Parts: sequence; C-alpha cells; structure tokens
Amino acid sequence: MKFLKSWLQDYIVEILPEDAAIKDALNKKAFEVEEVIPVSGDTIYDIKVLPNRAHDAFGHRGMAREIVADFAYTFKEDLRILKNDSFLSPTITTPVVAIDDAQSCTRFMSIRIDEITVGDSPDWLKKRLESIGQRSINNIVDITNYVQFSLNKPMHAYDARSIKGTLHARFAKASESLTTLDDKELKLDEKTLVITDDEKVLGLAGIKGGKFSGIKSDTTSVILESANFSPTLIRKTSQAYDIRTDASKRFENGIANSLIEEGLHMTANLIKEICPDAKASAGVDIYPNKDLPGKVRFSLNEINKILGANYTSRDIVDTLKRLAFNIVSNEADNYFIEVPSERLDIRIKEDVAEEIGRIIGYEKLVPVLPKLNRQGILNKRTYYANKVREILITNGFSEVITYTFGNSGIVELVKGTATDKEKLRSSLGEGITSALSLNLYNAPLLGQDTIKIFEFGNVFTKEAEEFHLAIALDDSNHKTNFSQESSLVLAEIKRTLGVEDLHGNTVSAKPHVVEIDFDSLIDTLKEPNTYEPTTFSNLPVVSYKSIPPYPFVARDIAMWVPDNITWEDIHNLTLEIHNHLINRIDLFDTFSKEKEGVKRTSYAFRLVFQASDRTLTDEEVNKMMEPYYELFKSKGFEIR
Amino acid sequence: MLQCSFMKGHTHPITLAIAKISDIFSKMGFDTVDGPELEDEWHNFDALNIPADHPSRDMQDTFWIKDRKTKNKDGEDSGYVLRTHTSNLQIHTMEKYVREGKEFPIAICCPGKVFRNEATDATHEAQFHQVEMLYVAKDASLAMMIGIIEKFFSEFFGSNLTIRLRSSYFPFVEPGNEIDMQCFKCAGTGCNICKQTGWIEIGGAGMVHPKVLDASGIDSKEYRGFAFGCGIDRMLMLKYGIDDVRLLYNGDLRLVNQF
Repeated sequence: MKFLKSWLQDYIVEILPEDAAIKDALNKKAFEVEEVIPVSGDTIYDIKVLPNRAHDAFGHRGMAREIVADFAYTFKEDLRILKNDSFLSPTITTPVVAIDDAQSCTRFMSIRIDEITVGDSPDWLKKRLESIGQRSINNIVDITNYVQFSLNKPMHAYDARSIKGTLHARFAKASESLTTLDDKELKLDEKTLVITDDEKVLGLAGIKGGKFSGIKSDTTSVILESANFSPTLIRKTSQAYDIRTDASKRFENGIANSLIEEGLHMTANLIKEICPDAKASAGVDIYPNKDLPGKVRFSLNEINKILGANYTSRDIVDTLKRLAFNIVSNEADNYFIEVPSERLDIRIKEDVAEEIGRIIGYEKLVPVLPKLNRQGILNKRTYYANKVREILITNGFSEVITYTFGNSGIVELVKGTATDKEKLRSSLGEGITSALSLNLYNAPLLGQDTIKIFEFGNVFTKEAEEFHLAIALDDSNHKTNFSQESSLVLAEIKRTLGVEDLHGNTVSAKPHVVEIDFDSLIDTLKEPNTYEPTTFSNLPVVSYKSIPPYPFVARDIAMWVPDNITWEDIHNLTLEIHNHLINRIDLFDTFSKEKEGVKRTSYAFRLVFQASDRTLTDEEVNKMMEPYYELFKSKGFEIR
Repeated sequence: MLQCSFMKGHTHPITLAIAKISDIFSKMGFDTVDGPELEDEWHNFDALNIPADHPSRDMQDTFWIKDRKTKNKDGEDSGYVLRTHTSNLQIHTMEKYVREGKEFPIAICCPGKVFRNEATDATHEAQFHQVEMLYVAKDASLAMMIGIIEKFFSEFFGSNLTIRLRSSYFPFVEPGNEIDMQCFKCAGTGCNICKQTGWIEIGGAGMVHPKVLDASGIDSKEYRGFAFGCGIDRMLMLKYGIDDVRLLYNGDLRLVNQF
C-alpha cells in the first residue's frame, strides 16, 4: 500500500528523517517497506501492512502513529476530524437513516450539505491522490477518497437529488438488481447487504455505489454516508460478486466504529474548505451497540517472562506512551491500560508484549538456550527408515523422492494443480518406475549402466495413510534379472531389523519393483529410546553443479593399445584435448589378448557431451570427435 | 560394466538435511516427531487459531480432499486437506502430552512434507518440506526462541550466525515474527546470495498464541510456548546453490548422485 511522506509528515511534529532511516525502522519494528520511490521533493513508500494492522495502518494517520511510536516522535492530530457547527444551517433537513440488522451494519451516520459546486480539485488534493496512484475525478469524490486514505475510513457521497426518502441499510430482495458505476448489472440475492432509499437500491453496502446516485457535474447538494459493516459479510459479498474495491478491502479487515464520526466530520470540513459557500444539515447517527474500548491487564513480570527480558517499569511506561496506550492504573507494576480505538488488534497481554518487544527492539533481547539435560530421540518411522537407508545405500541404491499426487489413486483432491494431478498415490510404484525410466535415459550421463533406487513415502488408501518403502532396479538393456540381488538386500533388511515378515509385494517383475508396507514391517519393533546418529547425519561438502536442461550426446570409442598403456594414460590423453562440452568419460569394457606374441589391451569407453545453452547437433559432435581419433591414431592405437 | 558392484548409493539431500536437523535438535534435547500429511481441518487450521474465512483456507492455496468429512469439536462439518504446514504436529504433540499425562517441557522438531496449491516454477513447488520446532514449558520466552534458532542455523550452515526478528503476523503466534538469518556466505557484508543486504529471510516464528495452547488442552495461564518453522528445500537450495526446487522431486539422480 502506498504512503506519501509529506502526508505522513502532516501528522508528526518532528521533521521526518531520511528515507533510509524510515525504511529501516519500519522494517524492523512494524512492516516491510517494499519500495521507496522518490518523487519531486517527496517520497512514496510502498509498505506491506500486516493483516492484523489493517484496522489502523491502512491509512496515513495510522501509519504516522506507527512512525511516531517507532521514533518516539510527537503525534499531531488533523483537527478536521472534529465536529464543526460553523456552517450548520437549521433550514437544511437532516437525512433519515435506518439499519435493519445491527450485526451487519454496526454504525451509520449521515449529513446533507447544500450549495456546493462540483469541479476540479485543488492542486494539493489532486497531487496527493495521484501520487498514491488515484485518479482525480472531481472535488467531492476526491475529498471522500482523501478521507479514506487519511483515516482508513471509506466514505460515500450521493447526489441529494437522487435520494428519495430514507437511507436504509438492509438485505436485498431476490427480485432486486443494481447497475454499478461501471455499468455492470448485478442480480442481487437475500444474503447481500445493500443501501437503498424508498424506491431503489443505491449500492452494495461497503463495496460499490450504483450508477444513478453518484456525483454529477451539476450536483449542488450531497448526502454523505459514513457507515461500518461486518467484515465477514463484506468479504463474502465481495467474493460472491467478484468485486473488490479499496473500500471493501478496508471493511473486510474491520475498522473501529470511532472512525465513522471522524470520517464524516473530516469529509464535511474538507467540503467546506473547498466549497466555501457550503451549508450543512445536522448529522444523524445510528449506533445501536457501542464499541467497548480495548482494555488489557498485565504485569511487568509477565511481559518480561514472555520476552525473556529485564525491562523496568520505566521502559514499559515509556513504550506505552510512545504507542499512545493510556495507562488507566498502575499498581506495583500491575498495569491496566486502554488502547486507541483503532487498535482492534490489541486485546490480550501477549499483544502488549509484542508491542513492547518490537518498539524497544527485538535486537535488545539476549539469546539463551534451554537446559534440558537430555538427548532428543527420533520418531520410530525415521529411526528404522534410517537403518534401512544405510543398508540400501551400502548396496548401491540411491534415494529418490517423487510426487504425492498423480493420475492414479483412491483418494482424490477437489482441485489439483492440473487435471492429471488430482489423485493421491496409493502406491509408490508409479513414481519410482518413472524415476527409473528417467535415470535409465540419463544412464550415460550418470556413468551407470544399472539404476538402483529406493523411495520412502506416504501413500493413501481409503481409510489410512501408510508409510511405504519401494525399491526399483533395471539396466539400460532391460536384460538383467534382478530378483536375486533384490532378495539379498531385502533379506539383509529383515536380518538387521530382526523381523520375520517383509510385508512386501512385487509391483513389477520387469523392471524389478518391490514395495513394502514399512509401518507393518516395523510394527512389532520397539520404540527407540536413545539417539543414534546415522552414517549420513553430517551434511557433505559438495559443490553442486546445475543440471543443463539440454540433451546429452554419447559417443563410444573402442581401441587396441599396447599392454603397457593403462586406462589412466588414455584418460589423461583424452583430457589433453580441451573441450568444455565434455561431461563425462567412462570406461565400460576392457580385455587383453595376445596376438602373434604381442599382448594388447582393448579399452571401450564413452564420451558424453552436453551444452548448457543449446542442443548439440550430431554434426557438431562428429566434428568434436575428430581430434580424439587423430590423437589416438598418432599414438599408434588401433581404433576398432 | 560401468557400475562397480561395490559402488555405494546416494542419500537424497532432503534426507541428509532432515538427518542433520534431527541431529542438531537432538543435541539441544528436542525429539523428532512425525505425523499425517492428510490432515483434518481442526489440526491444520482451527486449532491453530486460523479463522474459517482466512484467505489461506481458499481453494487456490490449499489442496482439499474430495468427499471426506468429519465433525469438529464443536460438532460442525469439517473437511480434510493435505497439510499446508508442519504446524499440525504442534497440535498433535500437545494433545498427546495432555492425553498421556507426559511430563513437560515439550521440546520437538517436526520435519516433513507439506503441500500448497500453487503454480510451480524454479522456486515454487506444490509439495516441499518444512521443519517445525516447538517448545512448551513454564520458562518459554522469546529470548530462548532466538537462542535455539541461532544455534540451529549456525549448526546447519556451519558458521556462527545471528538472526534478527522482524514484526510479522501469523494467527497461531503472538508475538509473531519473520526471521532473517545473517548471510552464511558473506557473514553479513553483502553478496549475491543475500542480494547485498547481509541478511536472508528464512522462516517464521513466535510465541504460541494462548488460544492454540488452550485448544490443545494446555493451560495458557501456566505454560508458554514458542514455535518456529522454515523450508528445508530452501535451506538446501541456499546451502548448495540448487537452482530448481523441482529437481528434488522428479527422482533425478543427476541431482541425488552429487550428494
């Protein structure tokens, strides 16, 4: 939300410091300042107001109060919020107002102002609104907007000619409709709170006005509406009609009923300031259940215990003063305070602790550690899963984690990220099988011929959520029978854990995939009662290499070399040719033979090429291979 | 054969991180606990003081389970979700301590998979891992929370790091804080990892809201708590410079084999 520095300054006696200091203080103590935008002689701050502070800090006055507290400055009220009878005219009839439901409309005030002239706004007003991204419309509409951005109190002005009879906050009838200012025709229902007169619907309460009652260029009399509505109701209505406005956002978050009168008076006073001939009726105020001021009891000791601090009475009193919290009583450091009406977020002692903690500064707290004198213990699943991980890893299996949602399963989502991701897996089989294919495809890049992987994860059946283990094995040619290797490793798991039954089933024989109900497997085992670090409890030092999104190209070379040449020699020779696109060099076959009394060795190896910025073409790779062939030939090796 | 039979396999970096996290917390006396990924509305939202019309409960943020309903403690209809955070384990653990009459303090960490219904890209995933820390005792304080979090990050990133608290808002904590960690790469002098600020936004924390303690059956007049949560994927990505979170979940050994 955008705030203008000079507008904030209006509410503060001291001259505001430079932008960096304001940004830093707000960031630490209150809100994130997302952007600082210098404009000619002024600054716009884009501030992310926290949802619990929308009540006060959505307006310039509230934000200024925050800055006052952060810097221990002096607050200066804009006196135009006060009732001003100097242009009261007894001959003007006070509008008639009615509320049907005191829960959905908690307060409704109105006043009529005659002898106004609609026209352009004065420069100062235009400039302020435009600087925070608001288009200037006309002086009257701009004034209501100005009040909204000052006090966080949305205001509405009607052309008095268009209002017949009573201004009424009530629920709509099913047959009613409303044409909004932007010409949208809304069919209303009985859950929608509207403002009406005796003949028609004037607007969606707290959200948007109707087309036919707005301010026109020839308007000379206005009726002001200053009201407050149930946050939940506004939120639901705004969702139902898919209309979100500056006003609805403010009402949705809730505002104090004290703002209703301040908003009305400020609007009237501004109209008088800009239209000097204006004359006003007496105001009307329907306010069935008055707000009780927020009162909190707490002690110095409680605040210090929550924060872990040693603050003194002096610290507390000073901070409360900065926040304009009124100390009703203070007996032996037991405080009873009353908070400013807009601070609907301060109701319990923990709220006060936060205010004191942040205003004094969290950096003042001295970190301590609890003295628990014990070692934490792992939960059973993790404890035994880690033992099994150790076995699998020793046996050459690598761990994968795949997606919980997919195309098959029993439990369904109402809405997923895609239509093929709306079911929760009931088996790890599908995920691990596709991981197997992916890795077989990349086998040359991995320098492996066989892929052996496992996954631990939760699966979902109709009634239960189970923790499963799956293992999967295959080779590039899909030839090897892995059942024996798999049996051996599973037998080792049984032996190590000391269980009889594996609770496993073969998901697929080719590729070889076995899934185990791990919860059942460990069911009879005892809960761990000591902590044992695993072989992988220390994070490895790894310089991670990004994975290029482009495909690789593999080329195999097989050649005869004299017996005294080792693989290391060949590998080093290969590296003599500088090619930054070479990703791996892997030996995959070697054997020796005697021919005519001379012993020779055959080496078959694979060069893998990959670029990080493009797909390599065959032609390109063929060209890259030439220097290797030439080099080997020059050494007298016989390419097979 | 390319692969020698004695070649060891590789542990997934998420598992490595979780093992390290459990190890760090174990030394501080914190147990590791786990719990359901498919959760009822009570444990994921209500008990955490997240009101019924809170935006995080919207369809666009939460994966709701089809055709599954139960009654909540107030006898109202209540649905099921894929948990949106590991904070559900705060509630499960507190309920368990009360139910079994276990001795306080509660000191736990809960690493686990969580879900958000959002579009995925290099830094966003619909599933990812979080770790939650919870401490409930008579002596819990914000200063103690800071001590534990500093120790945690220092051990994980392998250098003495300080943290700073910024004011924030989460319905289940009061006071509520955003946690920044001093940059582990440049120690606060400014580099490309911390975008020249010296600090890295890393998690959320605060004193457990009294309503949350009460909802779990713990007397908030007698006990206080604090909780902290952060993304494990993000910690890994920062520590190792992993540039795409999705690589952690497509089963790709090109990533796993580097660990």
